[in-house]
Amino acid sequence: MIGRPMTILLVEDNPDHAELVKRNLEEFQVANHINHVEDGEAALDYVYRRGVYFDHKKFPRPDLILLDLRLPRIDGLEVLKQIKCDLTLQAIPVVVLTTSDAEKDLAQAYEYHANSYVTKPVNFDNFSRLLRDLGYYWLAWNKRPW
Amino acid sequence: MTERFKNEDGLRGYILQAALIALAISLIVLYVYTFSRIHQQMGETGGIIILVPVVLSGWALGARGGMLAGLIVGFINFFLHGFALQIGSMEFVFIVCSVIIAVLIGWVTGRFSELRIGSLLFGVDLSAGVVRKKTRGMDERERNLLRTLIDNLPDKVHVKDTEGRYVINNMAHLHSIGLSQQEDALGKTLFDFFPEPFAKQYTTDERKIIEIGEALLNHEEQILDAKTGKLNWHLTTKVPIRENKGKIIGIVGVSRDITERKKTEEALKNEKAFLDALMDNIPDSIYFKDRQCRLLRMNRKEMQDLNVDDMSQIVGKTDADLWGEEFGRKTFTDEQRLMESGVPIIGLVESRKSEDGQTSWTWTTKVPLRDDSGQIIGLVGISRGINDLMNAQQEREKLLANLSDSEHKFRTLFENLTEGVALHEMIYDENGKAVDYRILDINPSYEKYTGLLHTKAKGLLASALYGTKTPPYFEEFERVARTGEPYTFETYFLTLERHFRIGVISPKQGTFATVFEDITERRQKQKELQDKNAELERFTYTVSHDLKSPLITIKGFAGALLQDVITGRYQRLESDLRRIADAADKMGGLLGNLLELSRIGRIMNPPSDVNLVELTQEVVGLLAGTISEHKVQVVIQSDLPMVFGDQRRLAQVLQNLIENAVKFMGNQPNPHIEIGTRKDREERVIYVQDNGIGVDPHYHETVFGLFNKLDIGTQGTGIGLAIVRRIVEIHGGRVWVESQGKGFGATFCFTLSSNHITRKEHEQ
Repeated sequence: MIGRPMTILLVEDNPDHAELVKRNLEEFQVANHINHVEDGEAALDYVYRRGVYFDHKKFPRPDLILLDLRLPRIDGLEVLKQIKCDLTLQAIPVVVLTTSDAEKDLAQAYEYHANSYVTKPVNFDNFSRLLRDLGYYWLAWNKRPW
Repeated sequence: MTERFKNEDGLRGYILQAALIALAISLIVLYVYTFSRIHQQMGETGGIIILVPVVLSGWALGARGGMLAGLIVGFINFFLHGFALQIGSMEFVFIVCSVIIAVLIGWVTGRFSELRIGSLLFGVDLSAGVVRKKTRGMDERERNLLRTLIDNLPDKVHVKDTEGRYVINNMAHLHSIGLSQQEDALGKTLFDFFPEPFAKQYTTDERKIIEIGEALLNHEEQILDAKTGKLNWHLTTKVPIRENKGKIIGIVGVSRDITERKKTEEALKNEKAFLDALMDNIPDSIYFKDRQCRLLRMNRKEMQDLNVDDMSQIVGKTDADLWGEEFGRKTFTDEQRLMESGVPIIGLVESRKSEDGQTSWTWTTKVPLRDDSGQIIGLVGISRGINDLMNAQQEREKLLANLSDSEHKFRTLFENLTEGVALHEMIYDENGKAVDYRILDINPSYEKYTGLLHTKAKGLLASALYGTKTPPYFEEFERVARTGEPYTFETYFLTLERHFRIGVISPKQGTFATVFEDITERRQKQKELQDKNAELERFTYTVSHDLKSPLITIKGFAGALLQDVITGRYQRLESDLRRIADAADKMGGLLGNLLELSRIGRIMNPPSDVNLVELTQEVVGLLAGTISEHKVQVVIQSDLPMVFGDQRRLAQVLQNLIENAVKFMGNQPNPHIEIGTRKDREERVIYVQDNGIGVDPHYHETVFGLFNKLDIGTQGTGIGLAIVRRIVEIHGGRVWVESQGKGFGATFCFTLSSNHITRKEHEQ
């Protein structure tokens, strides 16, 4: 394990789902920080450190982005596209975490270079296991250049 | 002499005297005969020679007898020659004198008896000489006459002796050998005037005549013209001259220069050869007929047509003999009329049946033939077989008939097509570059689509018709007209507000046809279908996402709750349970809304006249609580139209829009909502305007999407505007939002199709 604090940016408009994700991630203690934003606009503001997200210490560059697709204001796919088109941001792993299993969304997400695409399991146990695995995989096992 | 015989015995003396007289008479007769012959043959010299024996014999006779005989002979001579030759009176006197002299001489010389008879005869001869002289004068006159005659003959006449020496040449002949006087020619031969080879040849020819004694009559030969050095054609007759006994003593030649005639003949011959060549090689039949329409002559082609080898087989036949009664009768009538009137038949197309029943077509021209006096003596006809032509024409007529039939079909099709069709031709400049196109024809549908009149558009240049420098779609049309590859494109005509699909085809190089199909309705249908599909997709999405979402919440927190219960952690129990309950409520709400949305369009209330002012007032009344809670000022314009539609649904539209406006006021200190109407390009627009938070232009479309919420914090499911759109669309209208962005307020507008705007509206 790397002795550096890990940050996850959770982009999720549904507060209940956000709570569930946070609880599970916290339970397995894979991340030091989970920053939650509720819409696409906020997510972009965060990664670009705009507005309230100017504070680098409080809102560090995320090591992983968990991105819902159906977002108010700016759609999740648009957020994904912008991040992956930006040379300074495209290295950040983006895992699409959504309720949608629409093929269109899936194809579009990969076209925009999503690192992974998972749908939220309805079953609670599966939900917990997925988040634990995701956390371990991307933050512990996965090697990063930074 | 009488005295002398008297001195003898009586009877014996008379007998002797009679014998002497008889001898004298016979001598005189012999003299006259011989004299005339010799004179004839030998001239003066002969006369003198013959005189010698006569004088001698005269000497033998006595003087008085001689005187008497001289008298007798003189008178005989006188009567024989003088009267016969019609001498003049002076000559008569001269003759009488000569006789008297002869008698006197006879008498004087009778004194010397030896010379009596001789002197008598001398006198006779003198008198005869006078007569001869006279006769010779007569010959010369005749000769002069003859000479003048032959000298003036245009033909060349010459006489040669057997040695080929010229004896007589007439002037024409003299001139031809370069002379002008007879004397210059006398005794000369051909060799004096012609180069040797020619002279030799002519001489040889003449020799032959002389040797064989046969005349050469009307012989055509070439004779060298001594003056010009040219060979001229002559028609020559050469006849041997015989003396009385038949001996050939010379040759007379008459020749006529026929060079001109020869030339004319030659020219005629050539002419004929040309004509024959023409006649026999021309592919047309040529024939000559007499006044009775009988064939006189024809060319080879006509003979081939008639299948005969020898012209004589058909000369004298008529058309009736050759082509049958019917045809014969017709041509006979025609030809007789022609020969009577002298009016030619030109370019008559005739058909005749040959033996094998084949109809052959001819193109015939007949012209009268006239003799020198202008009398019509027959005709010449020229016929050309035009079977191929006629067959081709019949084919063409058939084709034309078919064509006109098909033209009719296509015309009908063209006129009745719902597609607008226009035919064009490209216009090229002198460099072959396309510069414009011309409208050739347009059909009624095209007129209808474009409003262009057929009568106006036809023949016009597109640039002139449409008033543009480069005519519409020029590049595309030019390509099709050039390559022949069809091309189809769709376009929107702003002025007509309609969509068209334009097919361009090129029936032949440089031309093209455009086929206009109004696809506005299809487009609309497509759009509707696309909208329906999008809606269905949204619905599916909603089911897979938005309905699943609360389910995840419920299951998730239920699971968490369970663990908490197991592990004895109760502090989050209450909030978790509430989350579960809220999610279930939300799900219920979503299901209800979905049901509601699906009802719209499926279940409609019967349409009725709706007063929008009243309806708006009702809706505002219903929302009075919320409105007053947010302290919003609501203004309803009084000119809202009467509409025809589903009153309940329309109320729902207004309610959702007003509710939204109230909901998204933000922290506006003077919230204000206005419900009004305006006209946009002849279209009745109803709007709900607020001065709330506004809508970012990015989201002007998505706000109407199902479950699309712009703001997490606000209540609602995100279905309100979706329902509005649905209802408006069912009423044939559109809905949109106008907003400069955040903080500028928003105006939600909608229209209804014209048939939902009632008559009252129109009356206004």
